[in-house]
Amino acid sequence: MSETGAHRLDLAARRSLAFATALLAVLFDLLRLVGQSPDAVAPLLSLAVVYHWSVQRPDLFTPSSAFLLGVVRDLVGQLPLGLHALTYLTVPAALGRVPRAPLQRSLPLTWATFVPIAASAAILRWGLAALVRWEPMPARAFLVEAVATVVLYPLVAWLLGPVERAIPRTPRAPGI
Amino acid sequence: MARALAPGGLRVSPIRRDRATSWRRLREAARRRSTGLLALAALALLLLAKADIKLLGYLAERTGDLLAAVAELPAAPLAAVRRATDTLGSLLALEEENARLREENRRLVHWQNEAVRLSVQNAALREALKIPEPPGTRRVTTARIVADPGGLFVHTRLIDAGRDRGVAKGMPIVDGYGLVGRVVEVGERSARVLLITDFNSKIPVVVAGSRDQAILEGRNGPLAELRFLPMDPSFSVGDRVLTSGGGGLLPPGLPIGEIVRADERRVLVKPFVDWDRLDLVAVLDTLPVPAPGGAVPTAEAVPVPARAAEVRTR
Repeated sequence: MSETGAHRLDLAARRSLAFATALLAVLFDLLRLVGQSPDAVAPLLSLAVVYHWSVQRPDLFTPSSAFLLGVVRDLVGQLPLGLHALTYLTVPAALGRVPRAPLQRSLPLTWATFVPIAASAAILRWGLAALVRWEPMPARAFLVEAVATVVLYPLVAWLLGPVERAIPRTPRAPGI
Repeated sequence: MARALAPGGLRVSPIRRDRATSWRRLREAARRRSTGLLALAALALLLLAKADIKLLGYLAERTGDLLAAVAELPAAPLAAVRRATDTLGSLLALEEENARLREENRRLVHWQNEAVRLSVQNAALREALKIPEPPGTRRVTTARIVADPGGLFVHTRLIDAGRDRGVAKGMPIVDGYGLVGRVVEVGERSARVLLITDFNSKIPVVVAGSRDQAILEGRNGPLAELRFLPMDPSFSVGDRVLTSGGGGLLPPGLPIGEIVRADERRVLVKPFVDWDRLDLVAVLDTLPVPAPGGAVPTAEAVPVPARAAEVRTR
């Protein structure tokens, strides 16, 4: 393989790390690490990862990536397709044209911005759950899930830091 | 003049240039609105899911198998690496192979000792588990809960046993204390269990003592609710709730929980299941009702799938 070919392959592998880590987060969400009790609520790690990449590398984690991740999550969880796609799409929808550069430089600012986004996602999930099941769902679980997700965000950002540094930034990447 | 030339030096007609510009603008507009378009696509998928398309069911079943396989992965890569090393070693030289076999033999003796130790420990754990096999049922297999695919939306669990171990749709799942749920989807190597606490779970039950018949409905919380009780119920708080066998869905007599609260609005039941330690569960099947005058089949007399028999004899 030529040096250019190997370099391109290496670059593609590194750029796919963003989506790969989001997939890994989905797997963690599925494994239920907090016990089997019906009222035990775990953080939605995948939402935190989607938010992280949407802020840090919007060129690698586009709305299409969020959509695809949601479809995969619903397929694996045997849930109505579209539930998680809509959940994850709240992130790029909420971030919209927000300039990413200040967010990328300050963890407290990123964390604070995540609060309304996680809350919006929780309200949407609660509404969708009621819509799909055609009956009201207890809102408490969705609220606790959102709070746990927000609380865990700095850890997620810290864990993804080395991965982020392994992905080279291209001159065309927006928000740098 | 130079601006009218294409990069290759060819002259481009104004019409073609206009078309190219329009196409670029269209793509730019689509890119800007991608989030909205994708959200619409997600909504469309939700509507499709409501239409109960068979292909989606098939895909869901297959992904369940895949998830069960992924959840068991941690041991697989190690085994694969070991196999690869063995293959490579055998290709080098017979002398080295001989030395390796000696080394492997030494390791195998070590692992044999380890296997004996684990076997003893396993037997002790199985004894401690003591998952009951209520009358009228037989244990199809014992399975491990490997994932929570539904999250907050649906109270389901994925178990690592499917058609390959004789699991079928509708079979009750129990732990050492009572009913956990019932199988609603079966894949080749996995099955999805709807917990008794899920909104969609509706089980015909009977209150022990008073013999009041009712339907136990999940509330997506730790407690379930008794619905459709008779007009003059005579149960009291603390009474045990068992499956009634009504509708032929589940075998009668499986313990579910006890009534912990009863007021004018609702009667709530706390399941016996030990959710905090729920790991291994038993998949049960209802024994066929004996023909009049015929012998009552015992659990041993009923044909058992090979894997299930293997588990039972351990």
